Amino acid sequence: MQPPSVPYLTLGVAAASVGLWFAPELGEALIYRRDLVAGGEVWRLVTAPLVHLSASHLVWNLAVFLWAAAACERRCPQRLGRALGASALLPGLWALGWQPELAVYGGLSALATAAVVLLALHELRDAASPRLARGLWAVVLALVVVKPLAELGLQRPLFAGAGLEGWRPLPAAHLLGALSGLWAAGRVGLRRPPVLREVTPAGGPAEGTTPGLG
Amino acid sequence: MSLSFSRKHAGLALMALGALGAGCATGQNSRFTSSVVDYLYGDKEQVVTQSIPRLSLPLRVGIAFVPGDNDGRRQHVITENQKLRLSRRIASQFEEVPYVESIEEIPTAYLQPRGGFTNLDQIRSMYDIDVIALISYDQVQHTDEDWTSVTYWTIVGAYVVSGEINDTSTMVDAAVFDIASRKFLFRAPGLSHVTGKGTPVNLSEQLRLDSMEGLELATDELIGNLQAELGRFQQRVEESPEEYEVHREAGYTGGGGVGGDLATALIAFGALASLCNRRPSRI
Repeated sequence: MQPPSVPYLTLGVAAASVGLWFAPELGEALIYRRDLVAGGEVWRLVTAPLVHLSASHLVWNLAVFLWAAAACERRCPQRLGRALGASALLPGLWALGWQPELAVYGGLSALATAAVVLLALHELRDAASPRLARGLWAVVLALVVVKPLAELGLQRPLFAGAGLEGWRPLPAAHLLGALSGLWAAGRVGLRRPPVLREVTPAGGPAEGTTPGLG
Repeated sequence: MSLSFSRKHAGLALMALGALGAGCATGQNSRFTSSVVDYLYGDKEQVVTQSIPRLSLPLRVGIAFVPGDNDGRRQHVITENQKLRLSRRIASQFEEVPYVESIEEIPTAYLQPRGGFTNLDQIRSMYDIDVIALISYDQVQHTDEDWTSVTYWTIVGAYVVSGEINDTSTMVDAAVFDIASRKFLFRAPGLSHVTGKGTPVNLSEQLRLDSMEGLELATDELIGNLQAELGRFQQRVEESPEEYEVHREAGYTGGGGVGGDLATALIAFGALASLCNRRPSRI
């Protein structure tokens, strides 16, 4: 599959999130509300990530999502689709099954985390990348995994968090996003496949030619 | 030696300030005032011990004017209707804050003069509130020619404001306390000065109008300051978890939030990695 020149999926998700911020009535119909999901409004399980709880919540999630998901969509659009699908569904299911005290949930961070993990793994697998670049991608991967693990252990945000904005950051949602990215990336780290680079007339590698990643 | 010298001068300074305050109390023709300090700490028998505030989110906030005290010569006291209108304007600022669940407007009649935190505990039980915004005011109309200034006593100290004859000087102050811990959280003041326009013929009516205008203008300024203080308070709570214990009740709201720190770090490292990755193409 030829990667799209324009990251339509990423832009579509981002546009929906921004649109829902400006249409709070519609957002109210799509956010995760435990009592309403239990009452049959199951679409909220997957639509909740599109709804945000404050302006800063939306801005930072969008910044990371746009950066990581757009890069992934140019490299491995099918895997990105899988990662986003899983990371949209898993936090809602987790909240419904294991977090009875969590009444309301929203936010794109699980999808953003999935995209970051997928992008970092994609770049780490590229044997032709300089060692320094791969080292930096390893730092990115460590940040998105270690931070939520530390927050779960400490039971508080590692950096200044939402504080009094009225909602609690959920590190478990980030971990579920990271797992989704890992799942979508495939058997990463077990075996590094040889890198084949198809040279375009312009001299650079053609899009989507890294084996095993879309 | 130097210590006793400092104490002596400090004593003189306090006496001078006291004399100024006394001058304010006796020199004006028209003053009405209410004081948070007097309401909370006026009863010397009540011992107030503070502790670390445990903020249960979302907060339930009460708003009340502390009981007033006018000098008996005042013609135009602030009415309950005026208080209600002003407290609604101030309450609307809290309604916009995401960590506030509800606002209760508490009638002044429920606040006993010098009732202190014992009285606030009763109100807390009655209205099921955690935090209270206590509104106090101080308005002077300088109808005495000898009068040149007024001292406002607030929870954090004194303001001295000068005035001309027939001018109206007003201060409205909102001081926010966590009732359970007795902890002062933040305050927002508003000041106004209405220049006297009255003539001997319509002086009384004009002073009444100036009084209302002064209260409205001071409340306008208070509201502007309150917006800023609510933001600063949120920042303080986030940055000082050792000073404020934040607790969220069952049925809380959770968000998948990357946060500014992590987002910046991720994008910065990713951008650096992409820069390093820019290598000449190989065949």
